[in-house]
This record gives sequence, structure tokens and C-alpha cells, in this order.
Amino acid sequence: MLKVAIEEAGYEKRESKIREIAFEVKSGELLGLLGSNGAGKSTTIKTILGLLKEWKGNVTFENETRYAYVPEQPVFYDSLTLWEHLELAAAATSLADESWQERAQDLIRYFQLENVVHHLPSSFSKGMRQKVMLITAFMLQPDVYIIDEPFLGLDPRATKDFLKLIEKERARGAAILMCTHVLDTAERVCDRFVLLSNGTLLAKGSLQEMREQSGLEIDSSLLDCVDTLMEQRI
Amino acid sequence: MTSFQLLQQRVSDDRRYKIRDLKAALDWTVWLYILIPALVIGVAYYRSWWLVVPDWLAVIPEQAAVFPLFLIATTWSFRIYTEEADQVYLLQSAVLSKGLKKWGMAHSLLKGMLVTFFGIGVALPLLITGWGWSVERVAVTGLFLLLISWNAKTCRYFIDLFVPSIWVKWIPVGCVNLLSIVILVVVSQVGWKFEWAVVSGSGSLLLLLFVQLRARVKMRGTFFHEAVIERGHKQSITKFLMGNVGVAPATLFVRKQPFLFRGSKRIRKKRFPQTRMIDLYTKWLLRSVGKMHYYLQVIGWGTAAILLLPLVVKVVVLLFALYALIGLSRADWREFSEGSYSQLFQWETSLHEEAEKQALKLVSMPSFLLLCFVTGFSFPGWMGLLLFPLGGWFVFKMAHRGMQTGKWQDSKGI
Repeated sequence: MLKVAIEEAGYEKRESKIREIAFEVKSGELLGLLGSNGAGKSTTIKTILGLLKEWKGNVTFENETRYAYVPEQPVFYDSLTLWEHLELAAAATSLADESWQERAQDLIRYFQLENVVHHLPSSFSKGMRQKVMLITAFMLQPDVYIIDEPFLGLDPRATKDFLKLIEKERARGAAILMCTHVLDTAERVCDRFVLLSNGTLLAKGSLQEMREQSGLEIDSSLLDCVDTLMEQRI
Repeated sequence: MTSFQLLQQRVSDDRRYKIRDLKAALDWTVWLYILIPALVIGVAYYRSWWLVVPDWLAVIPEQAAVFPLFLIATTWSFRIYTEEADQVYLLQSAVLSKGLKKWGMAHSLLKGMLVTFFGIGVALPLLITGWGWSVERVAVTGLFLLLISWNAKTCRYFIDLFVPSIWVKWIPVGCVNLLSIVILVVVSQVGWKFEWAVVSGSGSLLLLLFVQLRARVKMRGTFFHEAVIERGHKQSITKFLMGNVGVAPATLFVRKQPFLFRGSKRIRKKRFPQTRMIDLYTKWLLRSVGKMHYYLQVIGWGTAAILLLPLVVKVVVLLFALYALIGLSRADWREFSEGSYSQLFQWETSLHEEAEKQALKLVSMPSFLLLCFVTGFSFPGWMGLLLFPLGGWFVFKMAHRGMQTGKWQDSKGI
């Protein structure tokens, strides 16, 4: 669904922040993009979304694949209500009313935002804002999800609800690229991982392959693998 | 660190922030062609006022002098230099936070005094050589101007703190200003002659100031309001220079529901995606007071210029207004369609182009036709009323086609 082969990318000319990063996300797969602060996760995502000018390489969405992006920091228009934001997303992607309204209402109920549906999201709490971002993405039912730190600000119930939806979407055949620091959850839900360090690819593969690359035992956790791989790099 | 040193640091940070903004806006060309010539001309005029009374002063009653004096004397702000991070680092130390408050207030009052003296200094030649005021009269008026500016600004601070609505706020502010001006007029006209009135009046104003300052020091639970007010003061130069562009508005209370089209009601019933898109763009635009303000300014100034200026210039103004209206529409549409939220999903390219065509006409076309109608009205004879709106419609179509971006794909690098 999504093939990424970045030679180099950065915010200014001749100042690349990430180099030689290649991976792919298949249909129905959940890929975890891992790395410490400043490792280059957000730059990788921005490169995939085409938001950077200075980059070399290839990013391919197969066969007119549609994507939706959930950013780490929720973003809104100051003067549009929650419902109007969803209406805008639906209109911009040419969804007919009958194909998005019911789904949007279901998602609003699912994330318990029915009381604020005609309120301005700029007045919401952090967790509520994050929920609106998730609702926007799930409402569009894209082929690829690009999700940056989805757990920030979400309460345990909302986190559980989000993971359930992710499972549903994978079953539908959607490919998911999820960038996160919450390694125990990532270990439970992701099929494969890509570990970045200092703007380069440090390791990639399933949990088993990560264990092999880090030289750890068969029951080691993802956190142990990541920690060991990072130490080996230092 | 003592509270006085803390104040010094905050004042210097504030000054650096503002100078940086001013430097960005005022490059050498502005200094060379506007500011330095204006300063030289200003000084020359000021010097001439001491020597010869300007002619225009004869038609201005001396009571009117208090209006500009009051305006100048209240250009300062009552500040206590709170910052949001103080909730973590400073509030634990009662001595430091209370000290910062006191020094901040003292610093503000000192600024008020300097500004008031400057105002009196500027008006001095007009007062003494123009209206023939005695030194005693100027001194008493100056003293009351200072006390009134201190009290009015402190009072304004309380109003900012306790009246959240920007519309309701102007009622108490207006009352305070009106009362201040009335007192100043009375003092400068008759009050200055009576010693008892001067002593009792200034004593009362000092007592009122003392009560307000004491109340301010004792007040609790206003930290977040103060932090927002302070942020507003810190960004005042940016806001002045940039208007509503790129400056995050510092509001005390966040609006939960929009004031127009509540309940997410649709404007038009049609279900086509481009109709929905234009509907949402219209709501976004009409709910953004700052953006509508720009359009109203173009219409207002354009109307005034068209009605007042000579025939040929009217047409030039009309063309400038057309250029400004299309430019504004274009900038607004770009802001809407390329905002962070709309980067979260892929737009249908054809839909974007179709919606853009309609969006660019939405406000600019009726505004321009209104100005065409005003131009036609101000031309002699009835032909203007017919020709200008018709011609305007044709010119708008041409200009719109020429200036329409239509290059969204290029701008997105697709």
C-alpha cells in the first residue's frame, strides 16, 4: 500500500535530518515507527505526506491509495464546529452525505462527544481534541492511516476504543503506520517495527526479528530490544 | 534574585521583544523616507509654535486641549509583568511574587508620569503662547492630568480583569474616560483658581489611587487572567504592526459555540461537495471578525475616497479597491484550503479548483459592485449608475480570470 525509500530529507537545503530510510506498509498491516526524541520520526512522516521541499527518494502510495493523517498536535480551524470539521473533510474528499454522516455520528457516540458536536474544538480539552482527529481519520475510511503519537492525552477507555477501531480497520484491509513512544502497547498491537536513531534506520522487522538483531533472548520485550539496539549504536 | 532584579529582567525582555518586532517592520527605507523627515518636520513645527501662534489654534476652543492631553497621558499600560511560567517557578515564593507585583505597579506609574509630562511638554507652546495659560494653571492641570491618568489606567486594569466581554467592557471604560475628561475640563477652566479645590481634589485622587493599588496587591485568584493580559501587552507592537494576521489573539474566555450559524446549520441545501465547501468557507469567513474587518475597511475607505476625490481619481481608487478585494479573497481562500486541518487528508483536485473559483467571487464581487455603484452615483447624471456597475461586473470577470491562482497543484508541489 505504501512504499517509502527516502535517500535524504530535511527542512533546509544541504541540511538533511534523515537519511536512507526504507520500509513498506502492506494492506492490513500495522507498522510501528519507533525512535527516541529527535530520531527523525516526525520528519519521516512529513516527508511521506509531501510537506517537505528538501528531500530525495521515493514515496509511493499504490493504485490511487487514499490516506488520512492523525497529527501529534491536533489542528483545527478556530471558527468551525466539530461537525463542520467533519463536513469539510467529507466534502474535500467528495464523500456523499449518506456515506459519511451516519459513520460520523457513530464515531462521535463511540468517542462520547455527542454533547459537543456543535461546539468549537478550539474550546476542547487535549484528549477531546485528539478524539476529533481520530474521528476525522476513521470517518474517511482511507486505505492508509498515518498516525503520529495517538495515545497522547487519551484516557484509558479512549485508548482501548481507539485500539479496537484500529483492529477493525486492519480487518478491512487498511494499512497503518503508527509512530509512538508507548512501547508496551506497540508490542501488543504492531505486526512489524521500524526503529530510527539519529535520522537513520537502526533496525526493522517483526518482534522476533528485532530480538535477533539485538541479540536478546526469545522472551525479551520490545523495550529491551530497542534499548539494546540503541546502546549498541552508541 | 530579588523582586526588583526580576522586574528589571522582565522589563528588559519585554523591551527586546518589542524592539525586535519594530526592527522587522521598520527597515532603513522607512526611517529614511518617513520617520526621520517626520521627526525633523515635527521639531521644526514645535519650535515655530513657541515663536508664532499657529493660525488653526484660533478656531479651536481651549477646553478642547484636554482631549489630546488625556489621550497622550493614557497611552501607557498598568502592568505587573506576570508570565505563565510563574505558576511553576514563582508563585511558591510569596515574597518574590508580591514584590514583583509592587515593583511592576511602581514601574507602570513611573511610565505614566513620563508619558504625562511628555504630553504636557508637547502641548506647552500651544497652552502658553496660544491660549495664554499661566504657569500655575498649566502646573495644576498637569498635576490633575497625572493623577487622573494613574487612576483611569488602574481602573481600566480592573475592568479588563473582571469584564470578559469585549463589547460590554466599553461601557465602564467609556464612563471612566468621560468622568476623567469632565474633571479635567473643570479643573483646567475654573478649578485651578481655588486652592481648596486643588488640595481636596488631588488628595481625593491620590486616596482613590492608593485604595485601588492596595486592592490590587491583596487580590487573589486572578493569575491566569493576568497572564493573558500581560501576553496581550507583550504582543501589542506585533498586533499593531500586523493587525490580525499571524498573531494569536489573547482571549480570557474561549468561545464554546460560534456566534453565527449555531448548531452547524448549513447555509444552502444543495449537497454537492463544492457547495458544502463554499458553505463552510463562508461560515469560516463570516465568523472571523478580523477578516471581515479588512473587507469593511476597503469598502469604507474606498467609499469615502470615491465620494470625496476628483472624477479621474475615483476610477483609480476603484481599480485599487478591485485589486485589494481580489488579493484579500485569494489570501483568505489559501488560508482556508491550505490550513493545517486540510493537510490531514487528500483533496479532490477538481473539487479544489471549482471551489476556489466560487470562493474568490464570494465577498470580493458584491463588495466591488457596491463600490462601482457608489462611483456611478457620484458621477454627474444617471448614466454612471448604469455604466459603472455593468462595467465593473465585466472588469471583475476579467481581473478575476487573470488573478485567479488555479495553480493549487503547483503550490502543493504535486
